[in-house]
Amino acid sequence: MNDAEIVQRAATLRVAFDRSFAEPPPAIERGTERFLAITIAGTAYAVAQAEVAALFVDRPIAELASAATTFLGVAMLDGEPVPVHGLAALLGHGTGDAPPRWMLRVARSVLGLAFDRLDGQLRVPRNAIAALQPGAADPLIGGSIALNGITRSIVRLDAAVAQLAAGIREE
Amino acid sequence: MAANWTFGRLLGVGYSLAVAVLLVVAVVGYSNTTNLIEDSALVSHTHQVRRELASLMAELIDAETGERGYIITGDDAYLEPYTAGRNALRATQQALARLVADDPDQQRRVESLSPLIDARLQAFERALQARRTGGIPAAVASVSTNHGKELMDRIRAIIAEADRKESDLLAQRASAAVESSAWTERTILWGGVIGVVLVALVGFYTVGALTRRVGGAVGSVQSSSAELQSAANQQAASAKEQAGAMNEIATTIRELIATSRQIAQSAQRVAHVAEETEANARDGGGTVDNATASIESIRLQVDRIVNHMLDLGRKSQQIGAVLDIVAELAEQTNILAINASIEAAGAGDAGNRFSVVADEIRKLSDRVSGSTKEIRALIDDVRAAVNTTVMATESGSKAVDAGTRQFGDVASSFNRILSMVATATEAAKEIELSTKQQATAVEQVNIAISNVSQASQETEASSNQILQTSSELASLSRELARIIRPEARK
Repeated sequence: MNDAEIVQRAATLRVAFDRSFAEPPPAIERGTERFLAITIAGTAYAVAQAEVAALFVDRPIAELASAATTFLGVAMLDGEPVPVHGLAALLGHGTGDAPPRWMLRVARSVLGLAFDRLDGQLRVPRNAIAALQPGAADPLIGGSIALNGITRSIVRLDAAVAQLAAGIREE
Repeated sequence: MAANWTFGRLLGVGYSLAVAVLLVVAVVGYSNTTNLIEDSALVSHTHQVRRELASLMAELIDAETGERGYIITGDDAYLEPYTAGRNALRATQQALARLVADDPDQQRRVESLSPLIDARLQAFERALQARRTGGIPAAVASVSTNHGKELMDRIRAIIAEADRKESDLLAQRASAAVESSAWTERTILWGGVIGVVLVALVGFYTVGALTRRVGGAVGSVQSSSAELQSAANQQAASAKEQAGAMNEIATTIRELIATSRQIAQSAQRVAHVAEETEANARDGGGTVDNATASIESIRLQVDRIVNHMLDLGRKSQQIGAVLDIVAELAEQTNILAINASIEAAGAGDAGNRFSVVADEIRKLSDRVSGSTKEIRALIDDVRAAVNTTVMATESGSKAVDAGTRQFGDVASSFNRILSMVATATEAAKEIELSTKQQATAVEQVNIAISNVSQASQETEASSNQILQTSSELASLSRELARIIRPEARK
């Protein structure tokens, strides 16, 4: 990036920043779904924002002994201890070398799921969401999103909670 | 013993013996011949005495014949024998007296004849006078006295006695002459035989010795002449090769002279170039000093640049730290916005407006996050550029240091070059001088080589002359050998 581009970029940012305060508040968009774009073991995924209670970063995880390979430990989220599992292990990517930095708390459940990276928040039109056919191979994948040239598999957090619950019951 | 004698002694002894024999023969022959001549002279003397005696008697008879003719005829013409006999008698008497002067007996007889002859001549005169005066009778009377006859008989007797004496002497001298002649013959014969034998012996021995010695010497001469011929051949070939080599050397030396002159000229040019190089090197040394000062100034500037760049790096690092904080704030803001959005969604329609605000905050945080990323990229670029610049400047500083050192080396090299160029200049001048001296020396060598070449050619000519002479000597020795030993003729 040369000097002219830098100057141009700074001017654009200033204009956008100023306009954000000058323009009227945008209308509420209808017919869209909110997703969190995440990356797990180098693979792009999406999580329905409606299934997420809160998002955290760089929260310490207290490791505890467990037979479950997906269990990473316990973290303090919103003032209460929450068990944390790794989404990578749940999705069959195995455990990575470094512990995941990002963590989400599943709505309507006392469960934390850790993942590698947050790519951003997505507002996806419903026509861009493809549902999977019944009897799919992975019960945790509930469909896919094709947006901006990137296809992301939608991770069903409720299915993950059910799978973990079923696992706990089996134990 | 004689085998060791020299030729001169051998010939001297041999011919001395022969000469001695011949001398003896000659002396004996001379003596005998002298005796024979003396005997012959005595014989001739005896014959002359006898002829004088006969002449004396004949002259008396002639005088008596003339007397008787005149007495008978009275003619004076008949007196001519008388006159001639009378006149010759005196000379004959005197000659006879001289011839018998060495013999007393004969001298006495001749002296006894004189008075008788005088008396007879007087008797003739008396008869003639009687004829003239008294005529025939007086003359007859004078003659008839027999006085004349008696005188003539006594004269005849004395002359006959003297003649017998001379005849006896003649017989004795003839016998002595014969004996002397015989002795002379024997002496000459045997002396000649002995001399011939001696000469033959000496000659045979001398010829044998000379043949052996001269033959040996001739053999030696032949061998020596053959060796001399071979040596002369070899010397001629060597001289020819030497002459050729001298010519080649002379040619090479002429080329060497030309090369030396070229070297001298090149050395002169080298000296000139070395002087110019020395001046240029001196100028180069000054330029190097100026460049060293400039490089030192550059090094100081580079050090300042490095310090500024390091300061800029540190500032960039501080900016990065601040940016990390900004990025973290943006990230936290984003999380808060997302969580607010989640909370707003949970609030239903009442949270819609809040959700919109949360989205705006999230977008703003996204922009801040993107800007921080861009700023970080720029800062990283700046830091990379600073690092690159620092490294480049450090490399430049090191290069400047190296350049300074190298310029120092160049300066010292220029100083060494100056020294070496000065040395090279002196060496070139010395080379020029030495080369000129060498050229002069080589020219002298060339002259000497030319002289040697000429000497070689003369040696070749002399060798050919020696070869010719040795060939002639060999031919002469063969000829001499054939002369000495005919059986050696092949």
